[in-house]
Amino acid sequence: MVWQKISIAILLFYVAVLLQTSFFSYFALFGANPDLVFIIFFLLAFFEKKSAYFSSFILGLSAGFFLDIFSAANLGPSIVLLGIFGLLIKKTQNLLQNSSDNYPFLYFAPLFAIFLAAYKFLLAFATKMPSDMVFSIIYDIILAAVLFYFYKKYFNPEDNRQLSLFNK
Amino acid sequence: MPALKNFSVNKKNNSLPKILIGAAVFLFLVFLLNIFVSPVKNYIYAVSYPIQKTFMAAGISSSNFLGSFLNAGNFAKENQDLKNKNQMLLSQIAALQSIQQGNQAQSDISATCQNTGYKFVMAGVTGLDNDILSLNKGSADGVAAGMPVISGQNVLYGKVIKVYKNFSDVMMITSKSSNVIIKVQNSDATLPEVSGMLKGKGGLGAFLDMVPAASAINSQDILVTSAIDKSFPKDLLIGQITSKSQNDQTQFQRAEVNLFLDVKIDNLFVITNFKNKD
Repeated sequence: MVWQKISIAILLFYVAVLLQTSFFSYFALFGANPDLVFIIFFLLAFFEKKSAYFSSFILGLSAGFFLDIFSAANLGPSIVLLGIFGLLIKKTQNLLQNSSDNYPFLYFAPLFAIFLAAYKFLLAFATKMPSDMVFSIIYDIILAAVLFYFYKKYFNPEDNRQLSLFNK
Repeated sequence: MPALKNFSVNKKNNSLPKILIGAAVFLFLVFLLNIFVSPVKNYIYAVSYPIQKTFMAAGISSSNFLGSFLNAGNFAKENQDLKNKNQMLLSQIAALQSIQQGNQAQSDISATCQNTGYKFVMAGVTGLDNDILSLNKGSADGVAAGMPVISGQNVLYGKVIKVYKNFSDVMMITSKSSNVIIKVQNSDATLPEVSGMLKGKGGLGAFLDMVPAASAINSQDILVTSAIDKSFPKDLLIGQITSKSQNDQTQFQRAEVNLFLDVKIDNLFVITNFKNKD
């Protein structure tokens, strides 16, 4: 079941990286393009069970592989960074206080912003190819928020306390 | 991998050496992958090319549609601006005739490349990400790292930084890592030549820097590549100054630049024999 899920995720990362490097290149906002692969990786890792270190790690490796393949940099920086981030996302979630909603947006948004900023900073350091951070992070948070609620509504309905509150 | 399964904050374990060994093996595997990265990337690019091309076409048409939709509210203002501009242009026709010779220089740039004997390889754009363009021509077509990339109108796009068998990556002049020595093309030949540095600022933007404070630059001035920069042929079109700023504490002035490059372009040209001329 885990490997089936990971296989689907790998396919999703492949389509996402193709979209990121072609379709979404023409939807720049103040020069920033959406990091679709990172957003999907973070969403999938975030919604994994809190003990699912291994699958989060594999998700990070897969997403990083496609990002490295479709970048001018050597193979490695994104694979290593996202692999580590997959573990760190789960560890951070375990350190956070439990609530009736296991995956609240209140946890998702700041975690996403911190991990994305760290990723961009470390990637720029590793590849010596700095990119624009501020608008990129804002753009990505907006897109990630939309995908967060979409995912929660359609793929994680049993843990949907926050959406129920909105609907009332 | 068992080490990873045991990686939990809630469990006390002695798996640190296992984790360290796992990490070392993992890093070694990543290092090994780099030995085969060129054929792997080339193969994946070749498989993905038709899909990317379709996505790119969809992206261009969607962004054009969205752009026209978003600008619909500005049509009235745009119309008035165009009327004003038209009147201004009519009054300037006489003046333009006197600098016809200056305009002629721009159209002569095409001939410059031909006269200098540069060879070109036409390449299709297959992708764009973080100011890096991907082209569908590689080492099999004679493309090599460091070669300049231009459009059919002699607009400079950047230079090749990575080459695979059938594909290559181009660092655009808008990349934060890009610095191009330029000269300001002045219609008045009596004025001294003004040089500066075009620095990429990421997000498909660039600005002009390192222009001596004493030098005269104006908005609408055209920027072209300078012969001083050995990375590119001289007199390739870059952009037009839109506004300038000067900091009293520095001896240089800066300017915003409207670049001529268009990311919605289908085909570009790689100058394959420029490096040999250095």
